[in-house]
Amino acid sequence: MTPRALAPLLLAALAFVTAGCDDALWARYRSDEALYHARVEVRRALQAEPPSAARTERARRALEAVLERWPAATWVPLASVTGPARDVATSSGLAALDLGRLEVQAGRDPDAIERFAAVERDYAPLGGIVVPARVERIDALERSHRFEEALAERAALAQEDPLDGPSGQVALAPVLTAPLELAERLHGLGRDAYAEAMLARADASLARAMARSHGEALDAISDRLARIRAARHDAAGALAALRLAMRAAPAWQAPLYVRAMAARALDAGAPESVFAYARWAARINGSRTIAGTVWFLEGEAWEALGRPDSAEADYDAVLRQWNDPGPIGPDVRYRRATMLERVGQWDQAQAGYYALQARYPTDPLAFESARRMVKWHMEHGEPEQARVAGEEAIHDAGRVLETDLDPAVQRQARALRADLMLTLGRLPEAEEALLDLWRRFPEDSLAEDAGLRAARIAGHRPGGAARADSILAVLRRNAANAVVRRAAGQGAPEDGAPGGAR
Amino acid sequence: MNLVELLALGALGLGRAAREAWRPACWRPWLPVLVIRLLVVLALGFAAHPALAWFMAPLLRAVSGDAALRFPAGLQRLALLAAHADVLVAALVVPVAAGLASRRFAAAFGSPAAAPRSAAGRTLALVVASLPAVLVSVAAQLAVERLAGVRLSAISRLMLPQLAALVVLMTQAACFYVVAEVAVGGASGPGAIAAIPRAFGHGAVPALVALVVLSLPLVPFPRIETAASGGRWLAMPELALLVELARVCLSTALAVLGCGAATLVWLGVIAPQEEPS
Repeated sequence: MTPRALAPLLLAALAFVTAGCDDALWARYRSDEALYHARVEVRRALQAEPPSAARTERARRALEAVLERWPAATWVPLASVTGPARDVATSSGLAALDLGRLEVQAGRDPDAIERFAAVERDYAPLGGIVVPARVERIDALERSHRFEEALAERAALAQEDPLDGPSGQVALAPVLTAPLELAERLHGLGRDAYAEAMLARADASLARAMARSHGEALDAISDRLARIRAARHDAAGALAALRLAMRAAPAWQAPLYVRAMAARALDAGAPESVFAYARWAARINGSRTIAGTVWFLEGEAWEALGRPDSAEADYDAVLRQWNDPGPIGPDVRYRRATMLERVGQWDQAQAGYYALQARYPTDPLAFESARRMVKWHMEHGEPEQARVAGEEAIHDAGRVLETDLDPAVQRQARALRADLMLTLGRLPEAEEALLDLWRRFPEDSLAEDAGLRAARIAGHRPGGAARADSILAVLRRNAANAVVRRAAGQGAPEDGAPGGAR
Repeated sequence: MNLVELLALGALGLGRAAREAWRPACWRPWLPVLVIRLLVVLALGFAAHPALAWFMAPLLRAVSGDAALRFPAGLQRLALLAAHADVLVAALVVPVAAGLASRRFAAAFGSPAAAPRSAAGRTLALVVASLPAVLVSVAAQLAVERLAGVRLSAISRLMLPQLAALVVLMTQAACFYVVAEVAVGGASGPGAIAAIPRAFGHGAVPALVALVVLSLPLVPFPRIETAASGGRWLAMPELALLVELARVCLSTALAVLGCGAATLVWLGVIAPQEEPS
């Protein structure tokens, strides 16, 4: 090539190299890239076995480099609108969040709490950063046993704006789920009035957000608002929220909304409204997902109205219509069996429980069916039949433990085994099984409850007082579940477990 | 010629082309093609840079959405976007370069028809003659992309890209000699297209041999590109850019060989032979 032919190429290369690098698109690309590589380092540090301080330090330096190059002070003020600048600020915020997570990983919860608080402060306009930071801070506060602060932060989270950014198209899931989770915790602590007040505030906040939302955000917010209103027994309000969202949704989503209306009417204690919505939903969509679910809801509504025969007809219709009714299959079978048990048709109920266990052996409701059968025999003065049914269920649970390594299934099967041993009076084995469950799943509230029950059993066995005290001390200090923590503090049972207070 | 001779001719064509391709006169016409394709890949890879964003950003947003301007999504879509851009290069630039190179290969093989200046003057004829192969490969590419979003049986989904590749290969084999027909034989664009059945009748086997051999080095690239876009190279998405640059260099080098082989076979078995006086 002659020098003359090369000239344009050289000029283009020069322009490329010397062009200003302050463009937001380029800044976004580079910040995405830097964050990506920093996160690779973080992942390597977290997965390192044995844990490596050098790797963690490298990850920390990479994240700090992102923060230094794209600081919150520069980019957050530019992030009030959508666009590349907001994405740069988000990358910077994600790096700050990951730095906090590294502190958590290193077991330095107090430092992590400070970091997450700083993230919330520095990235205040970015809901997508602030909300995860607050969730992480709440978790760290609970791990640090600062439960009152965690509860207050949870309450603050429930009041946050659930929409991320001005587009109104992205909803923040933790904000949406926070109100009902908070209410459940407050009810558990006996603070019902506070729970009701928090739900009322969340109701108002979500209603305001719903007016500004579109698309998937509108779906998510209307669903949560309807659930909150149903929890407050405001059936009309719940249905109004869903109806409003349905009007803005595409036609294919109508059956989903109508099904949700039927479900919320039932939750809100208005079973008579269920039938109209169920008929409507089944008319526009005959699939098992829609028609199957609304028939199931109809059955529940008939039960609520005291018409078990009609309820059974609906449950049977679901089971007859679809060989595999989908995710509602276990629920329909269990609900049908418990209803038959309640109205005194034990043989049919028992057959239903067995059918459920055979069809869905690892479903939580299959484990619950085993518990109910043993319990029924015990309550009806049939200890030998209870023993036979219990031994059979313990054997089956053992087989499930050997064949299904899913942690959720393992936890349920171990809990069932321990429960049945306790029911059958095999106290040493029950204590051991409950302790085993607690040790295997230390941060699970079901397992924490198992630890509490193991302590109670130990307290009632000769020479077990010291063992019970040590278990209760650990639970008092570390249990994530406030109810378990309080019960451990009192050293007294609250759920009618054998023995009562020590 | 019998089948064995035709097979041998295909291999021989590639061998002779490989020997002659080292001459600057034969590969130099392909240099602009290589430069253009490399620049396109680099422009796609650095589309967000301020020097390019003013025209690349609206273009990429329209074709592939805003994510194509971000890391690592842009690199994960690089191969697909480069393939789209390649269609234009293949339709407008490659025929001219191939025509020029074909004349020079013909000269190197001792044919009296060599006259480089006239090949450049036949640009339109070369573009028209190459259109069928370009159109079929675009149609196949579009069909595979469109049908990816359609509900198909597993076997259909598995076979569809293979079927499309087979159709493209057969079309390329049929059109293997159109450039030589125009650049060396002096045919018009429509004339070269009209001559496709005769050329394919005489030279199908060597064309298929050459195309299959030339395709082999490129076989791993779709898998490597899928691995890149599937996020398997989690630590280094930038490799996608290097892979694409390597693919462009290799495919251009193979095109030089293909051009040489097509010219030699055309001269040997397809070109109208002069009656001995």
